[in-house]
Amino acid sequence: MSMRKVFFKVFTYLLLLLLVSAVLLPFYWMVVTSLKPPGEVNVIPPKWIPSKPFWQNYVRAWHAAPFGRYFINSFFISVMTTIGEVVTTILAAYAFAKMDFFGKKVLFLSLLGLMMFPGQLRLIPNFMLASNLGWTDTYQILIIPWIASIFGIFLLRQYFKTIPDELWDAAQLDGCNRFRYLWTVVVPLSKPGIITVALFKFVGSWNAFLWVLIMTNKTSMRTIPVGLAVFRSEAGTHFGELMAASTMAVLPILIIFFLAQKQFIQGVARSGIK
Amino acid sequence: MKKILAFTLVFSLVIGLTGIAFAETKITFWHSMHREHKEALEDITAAFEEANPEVDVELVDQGGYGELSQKLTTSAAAGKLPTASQQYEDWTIQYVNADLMQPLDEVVSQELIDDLPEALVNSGTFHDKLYALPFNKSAMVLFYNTDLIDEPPATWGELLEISAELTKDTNNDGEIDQYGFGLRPTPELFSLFFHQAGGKFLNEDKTELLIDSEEGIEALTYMKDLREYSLYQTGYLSGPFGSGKVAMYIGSSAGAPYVDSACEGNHGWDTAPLPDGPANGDSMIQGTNVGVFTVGNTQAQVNAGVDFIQFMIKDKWTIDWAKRTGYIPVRKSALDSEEWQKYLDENPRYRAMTQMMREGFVYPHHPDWYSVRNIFGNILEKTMLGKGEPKELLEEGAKTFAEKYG
Repeated sequence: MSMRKVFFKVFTYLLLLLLVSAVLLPFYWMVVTSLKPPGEVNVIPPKWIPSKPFWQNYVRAWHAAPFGRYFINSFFISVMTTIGEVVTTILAAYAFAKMDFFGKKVLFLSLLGLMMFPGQLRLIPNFMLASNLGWTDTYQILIIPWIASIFGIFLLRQYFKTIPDELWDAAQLDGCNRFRYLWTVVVPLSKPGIITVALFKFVGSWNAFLWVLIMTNKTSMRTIPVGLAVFRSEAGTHFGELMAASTMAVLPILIIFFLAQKQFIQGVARSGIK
Repeated sequence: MKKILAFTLVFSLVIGLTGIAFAETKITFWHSMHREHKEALEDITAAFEEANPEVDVELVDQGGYGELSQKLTTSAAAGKLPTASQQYEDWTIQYVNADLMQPLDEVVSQELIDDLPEALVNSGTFHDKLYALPFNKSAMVLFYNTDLIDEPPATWGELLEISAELTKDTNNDGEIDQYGFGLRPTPELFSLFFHQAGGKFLNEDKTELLIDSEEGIEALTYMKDLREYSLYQTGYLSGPFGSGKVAMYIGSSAGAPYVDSACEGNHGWDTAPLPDGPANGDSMIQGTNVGVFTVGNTQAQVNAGVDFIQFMIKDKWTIDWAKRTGYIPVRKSALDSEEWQKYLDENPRYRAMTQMMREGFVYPHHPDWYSVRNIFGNILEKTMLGKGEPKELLEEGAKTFAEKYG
C-alpha cells in the first residue's frame, strides 16, 4: 500500500470514528445518567462516569408506572402495525409500479398530496371519528389506522420499479400469475426495501405518542412513550429515573435493529440482478 | 291473587326505589399527578367514594401538564370532556369563554370561599365569577445553603450584598467556582421582581401591557445587577444548588423534594420568605386548580363533580395532601390548624412556604397569557445577555403586546 493510500484510510477511519461518537454520545449520556445517584446528575463539570452505579434508578423507574403492561402494549401494537403495513404496502406499491389501470397517475399524485397535511390538523376529526365509532380505548384504534402508509408505498414503488420487466415476461411464459410472481419473485428481490419500510414502521409505532395519548384514557391501553411522562413535573425532572426508563425502552429497538441489519446485508447480497 | 298482585307491586316499588337510591353516578377526573402525588390523590378519592357511596370516581392519568392540556383541547372540540380536571388559569379562561364550565359561586358555600387565601380566590375567578378551586399550590421561596449563610437576606439590597460576598473564585484559576445566586431566565422570575417593585401587569380592559413603567425598569435593572453575582442558566437550579455551585436561588416550593435529593451528602439547606422589594415581599403562587365541566356531563355528574372538588380541599385532605407532596394547604383554616402548625414545628422548612402562601399573588387572567409571558422571558434573556437596555426592551415588549393582543 502506498503512503497515500494509508493516509487516506487513516483519515477515513478517523472521520468515521468522529461521526460514530457523535451518534453514540447521546446514548452514552443516557446510560450513564441512568446510573447516577440524584446528587450527581446535574453537577458542573459533568461527571462522565458515575462514582458508583446507582441501580436503584432502574428499580424506581420500573415501579413508577405499570411499565410491564406498557411494554406488552408497545410491542403488540408495533408488531401488528408493522405486519399490516408491510402487507398493504407491498400490494399497493406493486400495483403502482408494475400494473396499468385507469387513473393510476392521478391516484398516486393524490396520495402523495395527502402527505402534505400535517397530522395535528387531522387529530381532532380523527378523535371525533374514533369516539363516534366507539373505538377509543381499544387496540383497533391504535392499530388499524396505521396499517397503511403513503410513505411506505412510495418507497417500495421506487424499489419495485428497478426490477426489470423481463422477469415478469419470463414468469408468464412459465405460466405464473401476478400474485405468485409478486410473492415468489418481487418480494424476495426487494427484501432490503421491505425491511426498511418495516423498520421505519416499527420504530415509528414504538415511539408513537400523541395518537396513543389522544385515543386512550385507560392505563391498560397505553404505551411506553406515554408512560415516560411520569418522570416530569412542574418543579423538575427525575433525570436518573427518566434515563433508566428510556434505556429500557430503547433496548428492544436496538436488538431489532441489530437483527434487521444482518437481514439487510443478506438482502443486498442475495438480490440477484445488479 | 290480589295478595300476590299487591305483594308484587310493593316488592317492585321497593326494588325500584333502592335502585334509585343506589343509582351510581360515574364521574371522571383527569389529572397529571404521579407517584407520591398520585397515591395521595387516590387516597383522597377513596375517602370521597366512601363518604359518597352513590358516586364512582374514575381517575385518569393524562401524563404531563402539556399532554393534559392537549387532551382537554381535543376532547372539548369533540364535546367529550371529563367531569372535572386539573387546569392552569390560562386554560380555564379559554374553557370559560367557550362556555364549557360550571360556575361555582352558586354551588359552593360562601364559607369555603372566605376560607381561601385571596390570591387563590383570584386564581379561580374569571369575569367576576368563581370557576375553579385551588388544589396543588406552591409558592416561590428563597432556597439557601445553610453551610454558607446564617441569616438569609430580608431585602433586595441584602440579597445583592450576600450574593456579592459569596461569589468567589475559590481555587484562583480565574474562573468563578461559587456563585451567590442562581438566575434562571423564566417569565415568572421577572414577573416576581416586577410585582415586588409595585408593577401592575395590564390595564383595566386588558388591552395594554404596563411593563414599560418605572417599576418595570427598576425590577429589570435590579436583576441585571444581580446577574453579576449569579450563575445564569436555563435549566432547573436544584442541581447546581445541590452541588454547592450556587448559594441561593428563588424557586417554587414544589421543587423542595428535588433540592433535598440534590443536596443529600453535599450540604445543608433551608428556605426563607422572599426578600422584600421596594413595594412588597409577595410571592408568586403557582400550580393548578380544579374545575368542573358541564359539556359532556349530566346534571348529576356535574353535581357530583362539584362535591368532589370541594371534598379534595377539606382541611383534613388539603393537609394530608400537603404533607405527602410538598405542596401547601390551600385554606386559611388548614394553615392555622393545630395539625399543620405541629407539622411546621417538625418540618421548619415549610414555615417560609406557608407564610408565602398567604402573601401571594397570581398572574392576571388573559386567554393568551401562556404566550404573553414569553414576552417577559425574552426581555429578561436579552437583558441578561447584554442585548439591550431595560428601558428600550420593556418598551419593545409593550409594543409587541399591543400589536398581537391589544
